[in-house]
Amino acid sequence: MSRIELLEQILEARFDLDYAPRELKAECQRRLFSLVDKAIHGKNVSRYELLHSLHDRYVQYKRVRRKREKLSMSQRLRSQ
Amino acid sequence: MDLSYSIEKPDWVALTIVIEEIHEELAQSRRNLLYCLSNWFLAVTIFKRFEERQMVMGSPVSRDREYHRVNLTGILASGEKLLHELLKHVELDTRTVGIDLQDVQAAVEELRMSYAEWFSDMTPDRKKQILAEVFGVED
Repeated sequence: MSRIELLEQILEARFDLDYAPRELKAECQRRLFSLVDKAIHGKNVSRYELLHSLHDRYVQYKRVRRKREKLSMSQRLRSQ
Repeated sequence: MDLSYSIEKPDWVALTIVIEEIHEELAQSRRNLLYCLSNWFLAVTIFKRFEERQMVMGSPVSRDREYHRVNLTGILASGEKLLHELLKHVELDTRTVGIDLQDVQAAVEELRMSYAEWFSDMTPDRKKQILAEVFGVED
């Protein structure tokens, strides 16, 4: 997996955790941390430091994805 | 904190009151822990909706940022207290309210992480350095 693919997977896993129902929180968190740990392996960076560094990108990712989801939902409702 | 009613954005104030009420109930042990846990999860859900609307989809002003920080701190503090109490009272089974203890731990950890994401004090240079070192990308 390339470093950019790993970055994209981390953003996706962060989103999944953000919107996970309460009974899936632990599972989603394990997935996110496993990806983050893979990214920082052998580097002098903590999990929180990495997530903070990615925060602006994550906010942008979340905004685009939520807009897309809302648009797709309204299109589905209109077509019913 | 100024809790005066604002016609433009009354939601932060309402949320602050809910979070303070949960905090108060926990502090005074007025209700049982599982009842508080259900209320806390509900408050987290409402908080995340406000966060999405005001801080992610909207254009936050300083008032939003201030309330966001205050409410995140408050809800995290209640979560830490709840978790601490739940770990002490091993006889309580959180599954009776439909949730495993590990998911409560994960939900509290998610708020700690969220606080670090929004409010960590990191220089722009360090951030650039991390992104370049880990992913080979520019800020």
